[in-house]
Amino acid sequence: MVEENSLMTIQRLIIDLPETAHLPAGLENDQDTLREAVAIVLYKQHRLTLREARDLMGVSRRDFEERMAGLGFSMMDERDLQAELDASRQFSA
Amino acid sequence: MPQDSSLPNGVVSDTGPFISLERMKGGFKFLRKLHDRVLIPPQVLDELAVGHGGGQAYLAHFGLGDFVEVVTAPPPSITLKGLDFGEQYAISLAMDRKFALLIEDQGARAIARSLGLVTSGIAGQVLAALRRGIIGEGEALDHFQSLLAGGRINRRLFEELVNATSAHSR
Repeated sequence: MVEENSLMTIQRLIIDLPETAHLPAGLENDQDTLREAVAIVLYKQHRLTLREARDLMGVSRRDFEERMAGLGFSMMDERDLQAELDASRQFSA
Repeated sequence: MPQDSSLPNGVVSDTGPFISLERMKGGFKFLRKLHDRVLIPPQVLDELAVGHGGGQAYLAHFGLGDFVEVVTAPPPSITLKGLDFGEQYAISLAMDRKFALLIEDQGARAIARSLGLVTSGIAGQVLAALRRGIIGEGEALDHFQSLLAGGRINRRLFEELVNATSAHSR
């Protein structure tokens, strides 16, 4: 469910999880962890810019880039291949 | 598209590529093989210096005092406002100098390229060095392995880069 707050132009996402979900004790209160996971996934989906995702997590640029690896993501992936191949040709011309 | 058919004779870097170089054994030494110097705006140095005790301490820690030049960039245009601070000022500096830009964030790279900048991530720099004969296949593969182990590239991109390295050597 998405709630819109017109004054602050934010959207609030509320996720219902089944009672049977095996969550670590206290995870339901671990807002930072959940926020971090959502921010990085939405960034990788291009739904948030790097700045928006970083702001959502409340961390520095370095921390953002370094925490991605901790959650199993990387800054660059196969979608970057063509750009890097193009670059290699341009920088070796 | 590049601003002209030849490569700009200088390079500016955003924050991410330096983090990639930190993950590589001899990463900055590698980049010195390709460029005489790299320009960064103060905003990029600020982002890099987090946890290092300040910008000068960062440059000293990696021995970059004679390689990295910190240059004030013109105020970024309104079209860059959605980007992170380092990205905005790195693009602005590269535009102002008509230099190429090292950048790894996909969204910022797309904007930089739409503005006519030549861009590259560190993986592209490794491939360029290989194509120019500055490094051999073994060093290129070592760098890609470091980028994978350091969480900078994912396994599928790693495998594609290994394939590109092998194809070059055949």
